[in-house]
Amino acid sequence: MKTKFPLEQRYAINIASIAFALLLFMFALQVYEIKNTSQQITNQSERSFRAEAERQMRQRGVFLAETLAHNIAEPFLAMDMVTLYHLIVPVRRSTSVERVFFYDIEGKIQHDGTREISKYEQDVRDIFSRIYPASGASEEMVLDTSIVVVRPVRSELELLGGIVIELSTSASDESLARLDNQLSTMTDKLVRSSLFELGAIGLFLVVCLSFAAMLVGRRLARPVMRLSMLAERLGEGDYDVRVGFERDDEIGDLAKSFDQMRRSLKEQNQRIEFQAYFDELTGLQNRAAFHQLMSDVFVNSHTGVKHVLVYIDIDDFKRVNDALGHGAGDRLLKSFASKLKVWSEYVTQTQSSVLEVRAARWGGDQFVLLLCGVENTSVVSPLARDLLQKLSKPSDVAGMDVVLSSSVGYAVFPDDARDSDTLMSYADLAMYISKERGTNLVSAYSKRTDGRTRLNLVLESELRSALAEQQFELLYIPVADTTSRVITGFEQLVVWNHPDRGVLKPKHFMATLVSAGLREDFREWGFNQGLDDLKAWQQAGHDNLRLAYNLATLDFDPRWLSEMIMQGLERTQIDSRDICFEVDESSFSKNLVLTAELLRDLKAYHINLWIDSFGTGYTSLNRLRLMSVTGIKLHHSVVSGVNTSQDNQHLVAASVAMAHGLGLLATADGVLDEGQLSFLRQKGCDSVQGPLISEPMPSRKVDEFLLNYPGAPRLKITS
Amino acid sequence: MFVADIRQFLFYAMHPFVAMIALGLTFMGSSAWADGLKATSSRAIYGDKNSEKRLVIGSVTNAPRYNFGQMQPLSLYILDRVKDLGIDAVMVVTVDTHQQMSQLMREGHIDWVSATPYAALMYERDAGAEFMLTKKSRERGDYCTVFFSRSDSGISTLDDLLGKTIAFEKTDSTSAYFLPAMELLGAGFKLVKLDSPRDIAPADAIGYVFSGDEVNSSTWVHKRISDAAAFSDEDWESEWIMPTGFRDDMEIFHQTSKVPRSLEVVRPGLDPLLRTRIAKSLLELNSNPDAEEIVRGYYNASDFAELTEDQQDVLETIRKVIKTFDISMDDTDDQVASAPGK
Repeated sequence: MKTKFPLEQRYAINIASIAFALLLFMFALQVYEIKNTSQQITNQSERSFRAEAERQMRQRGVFLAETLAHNIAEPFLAMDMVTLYHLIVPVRRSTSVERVFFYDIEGKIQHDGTREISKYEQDVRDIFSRIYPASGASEEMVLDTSIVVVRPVRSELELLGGIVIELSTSASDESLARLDNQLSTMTDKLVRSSLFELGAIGLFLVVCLSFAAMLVGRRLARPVMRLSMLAERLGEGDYDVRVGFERDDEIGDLAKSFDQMRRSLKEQNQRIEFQAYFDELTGLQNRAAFHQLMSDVFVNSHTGVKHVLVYIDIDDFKRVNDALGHGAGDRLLKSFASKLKVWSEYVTQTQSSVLEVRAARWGGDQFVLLLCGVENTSVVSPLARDLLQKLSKPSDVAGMDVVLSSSVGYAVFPDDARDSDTLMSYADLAMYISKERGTNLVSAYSKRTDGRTRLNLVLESELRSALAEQQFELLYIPVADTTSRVITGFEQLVVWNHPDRGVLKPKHFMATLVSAGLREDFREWGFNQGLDDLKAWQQAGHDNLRLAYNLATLDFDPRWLSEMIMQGLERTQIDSRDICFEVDESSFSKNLVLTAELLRDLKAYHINLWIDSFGTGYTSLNRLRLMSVTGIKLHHSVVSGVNTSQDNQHLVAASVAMAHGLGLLATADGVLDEGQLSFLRQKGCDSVQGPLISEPMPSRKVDEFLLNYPGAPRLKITS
Repeated sequence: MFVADIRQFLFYAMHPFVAMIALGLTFMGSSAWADGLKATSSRAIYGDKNSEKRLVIGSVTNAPRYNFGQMQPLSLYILDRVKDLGIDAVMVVTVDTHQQMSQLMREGHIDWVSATPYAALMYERDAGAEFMLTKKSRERGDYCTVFFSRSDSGISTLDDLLGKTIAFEKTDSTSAYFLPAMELLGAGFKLVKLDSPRDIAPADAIGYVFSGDEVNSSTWVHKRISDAAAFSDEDWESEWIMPTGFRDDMEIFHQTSKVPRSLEVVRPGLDPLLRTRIAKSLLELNSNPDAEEIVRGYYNASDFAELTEDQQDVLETIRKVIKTFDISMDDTDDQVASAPGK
């Protein structure tokens, strides 16, 4: 901000103006004074001049007359006219002398100072009536325009006549006029010169004053200007400016106030800045700051360098908040953030494969990390899991140890996205996937999951509420001996009684269930419920019932399965041989390693594994043998074609024969009528299931079914 | 009475010399000079200073040094013209008085001198000097004296002056005293000197009074203080001396013959060849463009000329008056002679 009219100049101009005005006033005063004085001088000098002129003139006249009278006697006696002439002429010609006459005792003019003596012998009294030649008197007469001096001329012996000199005062009047003129000229000159001097002095003064004013103004203005400049810089956000001077005057006070203002502004600004870029509760950077950070990092990122955005969401934080109160929630968040921070710093310092880790609070219970300069993204997942482990350590809140689980998702710059918003949405999505899949899980974003997940987002959401609202229902499909038609067991089927879409089978939502991370919950619930149901049936006296569970490939998490099975069996004290697992042939053939692992584990618990939906896949028979599978279940599509298709009859017959050949049992699914049943019996199929035997039924109806079933298994009569 | 005035006049007639101021030159003594003269004469030599063959120019002045300087150009000019006649140097000798000059001329020490008519006549009578040429002074050549009175005075001849007063200027004036006095004496009038113009002259004589100044003379006549006055015709024409207002009221009733202003005089016995050569040289100056430079210092000389007959006549008349009244130059001025009568 450039000051248009700086104080310094303003000061100088003001002072200069005042000085100028003063100068003008002095000018006027001076002129008036000079004029006035000169007028007075003129008047006074006119008076005194007049008097003096008269006096001098008279004196001169007297002098001239007396001198002449003294010298004129001798030449007069000698009749020396030329000497008379030479004596009189200078007198006559001298200044202001009008007339000179030398007259004899009779008053007759003897010489008048002219060569021709034109007044010769004229009576002097005709000219000057008051002359008395014979009296010999000395006289001075002041007339209107002249002074007349009369002096007698005497020889040693006698009175010869007289000299009369007339001096014109008009000359002195002229002189006076000249004097006046001179005086006024002088006055003008004086005025001019004094005005000039005054002007020069004034100008000098004005310049000096202006200069002084500028100095003063500068002395005033400079700190003010400095303060103004500092204020400008302050305005630009430089809060570390220093006033740099101390003064005892108001400016000093101003400076102090300014400094105080600066400090408070700085503090305020720091607070605002903190609020703007940091989360007040946790002290972590906030969303805005993190956005900025991401932008900066991404913009300045070199080719080949990767950055990983990690999204962390605390599971069920709402519940914690509701249960413990907001204060505790805040403390938990603080504790959580602190852990995050510690971990970030730790990783930054210890992990060479990651340049830096920056943490921020993204929202209520959501946090983000930016792993800058990640050499190899394969480290991310383990790191994230490590983080989850650290985060899930209990926090002491209000004397209670509270454990929080979180879900983590991440996306990689620039592989997944090149802009922070997209990257953030991907990481969010990945986190969501983790959350769907369960707790304390880590998911990386991938386009595949993304597509699926996006389609199933609604489903996920519904699944979550389905679990919560127990929309899932367990149905049991009875399996009967082909020959005796005795019920040998049940296959458990989970259906989702969708409020809008009706009953949905697992194949419709299993993938979503897995991606939503709900598999474990779902499975554990189904498994344990099945065990409970089986236990109930057994306790109701229905022995020798075997319960078959379906396993999807997605369930192939051996450790989790083992734990689940072990805990379930232990809890219900059900014989492991009373349960079995069925795996789709397609899953089986695609995940041989996992299946083998699973089988090995299951064998350890003496749990049988069946190949479900046999006939839809391409399982090598040899592999079936090697895998120690207990049996195969023919897919209903194969079975249903027995009535109409010879191919199917051959296929069923061959499959059963092959199974038997390999020492495996064979079951047929989807048996609809007696013809199929008889065909199957004929071909030696061990057991059947399907509408012919019974539709799937809820657990509560199993007991009744078994009791009313014609080929009901033998009831264990309890006594 | 009159003679004394004449003597006084003679003294003052030398006045032009007196007025001159000395100028430094080399002065040389000469054994050939009488001891008595040494004290009152100075001399300067131009040309060969050691040569005895000199032309000696005399000059009456009381300011010899100045006179020498003034005389130098003419001296050198003449020396140049007379060298072929055996003259090696020109010597200028100055003396204080005409008597001394007369004596030196008589003794043959001075060859040539310039003099007023009256002085020339005196040298002629006392030393046998001879008149060589006349000389005009600047633009003023011959002049005469006019006698005048108021037209209404009734004076129309010299005879009318009997019993009246005439104003002369002063004793050293040639034109306003010597000439009119000689004229009146020559005409046989008896002159009586009066102390004041107011005095009454005897009926058988003409009273004369010295006005001291031509202006007084004209004024007196005009204001009827004096009956008549006499001064030079040049003065009559002067507006200062005779203003028109005066002149209109005046009338000239007599005037003298013209006399030369000055005469070049040589000593008797001077080599005729030399004299002729000097005269010729001076006459040649009249047509010499450098003449002014040469003669400037020589009494304001301008033109030289031979004496005319008229001039000879006038001089003769005066010569006679002088002879008749035995007017001579005396060594003392205050000696009063008895007034000669007719």
